[in-house]
Amino acid sequence: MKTIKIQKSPDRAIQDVLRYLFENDKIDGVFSLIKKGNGSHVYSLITKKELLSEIIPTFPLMPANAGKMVSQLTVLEAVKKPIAVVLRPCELRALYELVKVEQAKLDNLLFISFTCSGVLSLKLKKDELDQKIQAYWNNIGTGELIKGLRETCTMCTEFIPYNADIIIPLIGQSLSQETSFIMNTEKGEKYLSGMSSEQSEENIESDEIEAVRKKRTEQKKTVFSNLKLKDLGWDGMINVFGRCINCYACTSVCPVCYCVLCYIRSEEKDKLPLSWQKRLNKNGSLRIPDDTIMYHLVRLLHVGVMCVGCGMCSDVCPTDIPIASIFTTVGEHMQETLEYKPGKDLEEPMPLAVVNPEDFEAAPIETE
Amino acid sequence: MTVRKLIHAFMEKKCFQAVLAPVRIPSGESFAYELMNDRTKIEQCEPLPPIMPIPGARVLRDLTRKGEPDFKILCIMHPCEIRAAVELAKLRQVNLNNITFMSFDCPGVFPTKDYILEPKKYDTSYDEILKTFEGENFRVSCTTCIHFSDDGIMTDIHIANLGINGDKLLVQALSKKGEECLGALDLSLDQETSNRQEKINTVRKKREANREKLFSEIRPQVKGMDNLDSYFADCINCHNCMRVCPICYCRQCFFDSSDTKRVETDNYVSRARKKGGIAFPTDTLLFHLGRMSHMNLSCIGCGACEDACARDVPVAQIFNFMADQLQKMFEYLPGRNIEEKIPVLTYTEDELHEYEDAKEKP
Repeated sequence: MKTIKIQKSPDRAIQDVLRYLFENDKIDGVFSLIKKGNGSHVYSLITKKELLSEIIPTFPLMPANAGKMVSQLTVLEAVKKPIAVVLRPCELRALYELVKVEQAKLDNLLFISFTCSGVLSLKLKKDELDQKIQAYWNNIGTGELIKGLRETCTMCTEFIPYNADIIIPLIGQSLSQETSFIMNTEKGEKYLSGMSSEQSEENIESDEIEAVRKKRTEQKKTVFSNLKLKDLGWDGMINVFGRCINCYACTSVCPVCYCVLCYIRSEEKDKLPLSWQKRLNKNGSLRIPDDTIMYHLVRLLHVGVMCVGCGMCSDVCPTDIPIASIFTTVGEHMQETLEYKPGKDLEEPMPLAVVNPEDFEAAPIETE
Repeated sequence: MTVRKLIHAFMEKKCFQAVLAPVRIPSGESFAYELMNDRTKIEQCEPLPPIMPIPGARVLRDLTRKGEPDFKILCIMHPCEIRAAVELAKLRQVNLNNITFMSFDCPGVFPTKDYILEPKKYDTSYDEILKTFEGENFRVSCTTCIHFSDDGIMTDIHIANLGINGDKLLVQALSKKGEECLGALDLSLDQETSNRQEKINTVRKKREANREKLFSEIRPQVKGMDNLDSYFADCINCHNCMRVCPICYCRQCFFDSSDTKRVETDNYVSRARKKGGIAFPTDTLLFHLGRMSHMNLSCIGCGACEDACARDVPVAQIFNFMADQLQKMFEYLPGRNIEEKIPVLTYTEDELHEYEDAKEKP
């Protein structure tokens, strides 16, 4: 594929490309992770090219899923003038899912992404984060699974942003001062045409990519089997979700949990005194807030098929429940059963939106 | 006598039909509130747990928001949880009919995140801590809490444990309801020992000193917009602080509603143009300030917000710091008395002139 090369480190090279697009009136804004003066890492929509020096698109931290953020930007209408969005593969996949459920519009958005080595956990303290950053970049060539990464990132095999217009290969690259921009779509080509940089041809797939894929597939197997989901049963679920404090942070940061008000917090969920009394008399005791396991299972049922495995849910859980690993595991089973890849193809309908009577016959039911 | 035996005695005398109290979860590393009428279950409750994963007021809200229970419930909670419940009753989110509170002297609780990792480490010393109040690594809010005993709380029955030695249990009836319940037990009511009052005073002095120190440290950190912005720099806008807050009762916060989350693209673009850029999620600082102005008068300083923060932002500390000044301004103490109206509900045109055009005191 057509590629241009810029003799700078990734973030600087991306800044150059975006500056070119700004200066040639090809874009009107940039959506990217930035580092603010107060030290915070946050996604931002930038309309002033002077602020481009603040963007850090490849910095390995995901304070929010960018797919969810772009959805907030475009939920009612498409952006009118082109905006370049720099985001991670799982964030782009989440955004695709959100488009399918009419929560986002892609018109006038140019997507720039990169082969992703994962992000560091939001739970790391500031000094821990500073320590891990160097190790992270040192290992980007080999895709070594360093400590401090989100667990879902260590087992993510969908780390190539196949739907992005421009793809920057990071995995397998030594931390050199050269960055490639592969034009993955015609749109990407159109935007980059005219840039006076070294031209070449490059492929996304490489031996290094394949090696990383293998490593992560192995890791996925390990995580899946450690979870022992099949043996979990009711008691097991009580043990896993028992320490949930019903803060519903997993819902609020999940990119594909898009309801404005979740049922669990709705008025329908409130119980009349008589209902409490009946349940109390039946069981002798009841935990309040109630329906905690039900909440997690229903959420799993609602979003499992769309789950892109970004891992935001686990990162924000105050009681360290491995929600993301559970959701990714079950989600993948659901996706395999329904032959569905979330975020892959806009034309591919969401299984929950399509009902075929034959589906019920075909569903494999496992029995003990 | 133990607290459990006391509860048992109440149930025997049919003072209550059910108990709402913390119970250790089956996997052992945390606690959850349970409403119980089964005697064997009640015997397993842990009335004085070393952590507070979910504030009890929120539990009581879930239980009574739609109306009063038809049976009498004994609610065993930390002092701050009861104070929050009283505030929620004023806001008509909790119905206190048929509810009797049992509180105890609270040495403070540990951060839930720490406890979950090593419950045994914290459990071993807690029995002793309940009597001596000598302990470390509590929630920061707990170390600055001055309403740790029966003072400033609208409770019915209070268990005094600070300064009480041996197996003796000092039980105080602090309301008519409480007196009736204790009366039913035919116990001879002990007189409070002077030693205990001394200990309470010592703890209070220590906490007041902690408070003063912490507040003087926070003051410069939160002065002006730039400092405030830095204080909340790590916030990722997950709104966990709001959802675990026992006072924040809105089913849907304005900052989660369609009014803020579903607006025209142009709105964001034009806001971005003003300054060159706009952060997503939007309005992170405004959320905290808005929440503060809404609930801070009722803030009882439980520290649940900070406990649940995904990014360890010291959110309870700034809320406590502000609440201290705000509540003094209105001479209001949340949770003290249900008859005492929340100042925002008693607005008069002619008040607070001394704060008009107020300048920061040197």
